[in-house]
Amino acid sequence: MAVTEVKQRSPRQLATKFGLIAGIASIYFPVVGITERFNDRTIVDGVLQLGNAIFFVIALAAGYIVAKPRPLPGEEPEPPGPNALLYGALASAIAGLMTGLFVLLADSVNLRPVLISVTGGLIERLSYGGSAASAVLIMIMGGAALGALGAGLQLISTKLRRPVVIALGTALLISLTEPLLNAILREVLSQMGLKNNTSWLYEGGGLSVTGAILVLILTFAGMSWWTTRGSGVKAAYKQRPEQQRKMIKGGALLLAGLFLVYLPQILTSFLAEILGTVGLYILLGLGLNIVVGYAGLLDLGYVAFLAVGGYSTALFVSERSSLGWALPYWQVVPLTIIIATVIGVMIGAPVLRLRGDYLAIVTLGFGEIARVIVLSDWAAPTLGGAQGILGITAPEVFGVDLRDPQNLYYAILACVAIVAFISWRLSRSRVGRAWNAMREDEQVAEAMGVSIIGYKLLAFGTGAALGSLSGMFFAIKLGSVFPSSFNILVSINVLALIILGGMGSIPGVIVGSFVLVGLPELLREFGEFRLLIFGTVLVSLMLLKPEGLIPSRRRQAELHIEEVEEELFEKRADSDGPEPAVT
Amino acid sequence: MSESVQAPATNKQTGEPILKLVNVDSYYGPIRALEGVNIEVYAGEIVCLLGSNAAGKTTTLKTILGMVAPRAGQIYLRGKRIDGKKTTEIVAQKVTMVPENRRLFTRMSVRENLEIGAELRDDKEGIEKDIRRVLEIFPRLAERIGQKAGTLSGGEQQMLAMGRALMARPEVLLMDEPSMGLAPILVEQVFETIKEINSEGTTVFLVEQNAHMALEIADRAYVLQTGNVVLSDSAEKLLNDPKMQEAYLGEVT
Repeated sequence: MAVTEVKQRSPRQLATKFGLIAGIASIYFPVVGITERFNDRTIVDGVLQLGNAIFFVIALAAGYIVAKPRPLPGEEPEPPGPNALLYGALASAIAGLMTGLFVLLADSVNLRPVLISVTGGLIERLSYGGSAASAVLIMIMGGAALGALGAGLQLISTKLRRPVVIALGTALLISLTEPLLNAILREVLSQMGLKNNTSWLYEGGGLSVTGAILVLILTFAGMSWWTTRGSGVKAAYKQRPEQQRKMIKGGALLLAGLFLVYLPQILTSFLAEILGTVGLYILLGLGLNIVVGYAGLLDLGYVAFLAVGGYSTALFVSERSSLGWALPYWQVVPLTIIIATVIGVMIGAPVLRLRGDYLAIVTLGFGEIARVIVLSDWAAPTLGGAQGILGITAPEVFGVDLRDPQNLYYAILACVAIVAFISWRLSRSRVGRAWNAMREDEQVAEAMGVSIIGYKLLAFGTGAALGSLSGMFFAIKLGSVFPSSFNILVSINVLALIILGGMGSIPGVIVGSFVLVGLPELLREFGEFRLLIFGTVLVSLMLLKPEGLIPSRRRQAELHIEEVEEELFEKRADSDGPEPAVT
Repeated sequence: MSESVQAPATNKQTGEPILKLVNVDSYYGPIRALEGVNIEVYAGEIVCLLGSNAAGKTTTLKTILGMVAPRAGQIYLRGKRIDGKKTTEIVAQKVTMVPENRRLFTRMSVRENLEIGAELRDDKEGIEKDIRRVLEIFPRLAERIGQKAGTLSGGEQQMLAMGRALMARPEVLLMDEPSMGLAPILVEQVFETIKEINSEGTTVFLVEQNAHMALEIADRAYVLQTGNVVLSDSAEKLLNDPKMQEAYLGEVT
């Protein structure tokens, strides 16, 4: 077993390295204009703006990272000493120096022709009222102080550190979601008959000072209680008999369900709309999760089934479609599902022998073919070409009109619940087990008698049927279908939300949809930086949690099993003996 | 060296062979891996296929199971042709393989691995009973029933691979190098178990490089060299065959 040589850097080298990185980061944000734009957003009213907060976070993080103990493999980590404070301060002071020098440079040389965001106003604000020269001093000192503070987080015990970090993070989160939470809070308060005055929490588009203190204290207290007592609570829960645990779980699910049912009542119509879109993506995600997460067939053309569902609904329902049948929905739903399943199996059949990358490329092609067909002149007489199909009437279910976003939300919610239940049952069934075996080792699974062809087609068919279901809702929601709605980005997004949430995990799909589809909508006011932030969040998430936000237990094992195997191998290196394996 | 008619080498060779390969040619793409291979396995026997690397041993097993289609020749199972049939159809006729390198479903639990072995069976109670039986044969697996197969030790993994195959209630068990990568003491255990399984009525067709150990438990053996059967006799005679000793037995153990 090759032992990788670990290069040990001296603390000073580390401090310099991370100081330079932090310095580059702190110059980057103002240069591209993020600082100015983000300063429109308040974190704590009258105290901190989001743009400036970025500097603070960078300086804190640099100190924190530098002070982190770096034990050699196999050694116990040594608790960092007071020297760590010094090096943390050094790192962030370097970052501060770089930023200060940049301000000085920008003050003396006009950088605007190249970097349009470096305006005189920016320089003035970065100088914090003084001259550019004094800015250098302020930044070095401020950086050093923050760096030492960040390093200090390493010195205090984990029991203290976690609550502090989480409290800060929660405050940031609550502040950033002000447009959403404040609206909800006002609505709830007024519905409860109280004055809808929320200035105790929110003010000026961010937390008020009292709100910030409140949130920090409450989260800190809550988290410290949890870090000291949490394990006891968990143990107590585990000791409960199976029956009671099931009841607790069921109760929690019921509460979550009630909350989801109540949600549209307190949301603005814009937010309800977003929620509906998220629901659609959850449906799509659950469908693709069966194909990719369960059966391990990498399908990059899943949008094709959204198109099939949308167009077949449009064709059958709309009076203005080429068919003009205007069928009732109780006929359209099964028809659409049958058509989609057949097409899914038809697409699946030719690619049965393909695996991994090859399968991905071919399905990518199928997704594009679907879009090209609906756009083509050839199919235009039936499918309407670029004009699409208009006039899709919404169904009435028990006298409830589903065109109304709120009612549609409930319909989607019900559908998500049913589909989630089906895929949960599937994952635990014999079929799920066979899919799993197939995903792990197709050849051996076949040698065990697993009918590879059958199970692959089943996966494609089921995935297609579920995808068409959300295509149907899509058509109902918009009242029309156009080829441009079914582009490759949809396929990519759905796959991304599955990976983000955790392959093969149903809660993962739900959380992934909220993060990937809901969050960008809330970030809309950041304009052109929206995708930049979003990309950064995605990349860092995948680096920090490669198994996804809520991994399925199996998948988590997959990504960590190599480590376990390695450990086992080392243990058994000298005696392939009968000592017990790790549990 | 094709054996047309051959005097029985052991007393188990009675009646029609349960598995019979007649002049089988197999190709891996353009490469001819088997050239006119003739093998007969009688019910209740342990027959061993010996040979060095790249002699075509694994290809022989894959050809029997229909994972590699033979380009010429016939394969008979209980007198009926099975060449050209799908793998699942052949497996359904009670032929099961323990693949080379175990090839467990490492991310599935021990129990799930066993259940997959019974994929083609529908009798829930029978399956449960057989799981208990496998756990009796391999008590160490019982302790690890909920554990991921990938976390087992090499020996335990081999036991699980065998247990998984047994779950199909095979009448013919094809084993591909069960001793590979195991410590000598574990190899002995594995071969003991093979004997035990055989004594309960399962026919075993064993592919091995570890010629010495394999011949000790086998009734008969074939020696494969670059796709040709070059020797075949009772295990006892092969053990004492000078040609054999020189070529294979000298270098092993």
